[in-house]
Amino acid sequence: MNLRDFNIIENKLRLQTRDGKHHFAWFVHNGVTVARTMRSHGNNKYLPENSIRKQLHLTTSQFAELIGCQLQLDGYIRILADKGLIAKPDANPDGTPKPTQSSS
Amino acid sequence: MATAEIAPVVKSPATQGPPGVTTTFTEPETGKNQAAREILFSLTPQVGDKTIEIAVEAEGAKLSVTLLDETPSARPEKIVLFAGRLGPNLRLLKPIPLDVSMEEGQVVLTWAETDDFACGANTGETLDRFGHSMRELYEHLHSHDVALGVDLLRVRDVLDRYITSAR
Repeated sequence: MNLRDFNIIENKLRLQTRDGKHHFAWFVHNGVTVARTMRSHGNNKYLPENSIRKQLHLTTSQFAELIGCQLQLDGYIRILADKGLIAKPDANPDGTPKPTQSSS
Repeated sequence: MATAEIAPVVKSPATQGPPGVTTTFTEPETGKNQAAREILFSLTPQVGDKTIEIAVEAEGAKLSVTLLDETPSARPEKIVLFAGRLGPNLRLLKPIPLDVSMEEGQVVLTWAETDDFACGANTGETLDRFGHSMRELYEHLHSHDVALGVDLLRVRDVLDRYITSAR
């Protein structure tokens, strides 16, 4: 992967970034910091795709879809929820499922 | 098979060649077998990094060259222990085991337990970067105004087994 791919991930997941000796990027969901990744400064620095993928809790195919067009923010949130890293979108804050709405 | 004119003499120990190449003469080096060695070394770009043996025979004398799989390196093959400085405010409790790999000409150090990594041109530079990265990560994960998810809480617990505040 290259810097452009990293920037795509940052923008797509709306990562919160902080620059120090390195460029850190944090995924914050509902006020909770859930995942993080980082890269060195500079345009020509090598980016270890496999390590960045693991930090974001994605499989190889999911990571490819994230850099491509298929996986968006809502899909990423579902992946993290399926892995138990965040509450499911259709769950109460304590993790219990929300009751289904009746149409009658 | 390449051939060169070599005077048959007694066997001598391996002589020094380029890194990654082991040369064994069956006779002491003379002007003739020195020329043969130069011929063999000139072949090395054609065989790349494969292990290969080339033998030169002339008048009963033999000279063999073994090209190793990889050029010998002082870099540890698999694991290095980080025991470097983390700045004035942090102290390392025990060395951090890091996997070493080479990717696209860069040394990549990975801490498998936390999936943290650092890259650099050589092991020293990469260890230095890893130290800076760990310091920033430690400080962020211990910041009072940050709520952490389950995985980052786990990462923080792992960090706490290796790093402590020196304050």
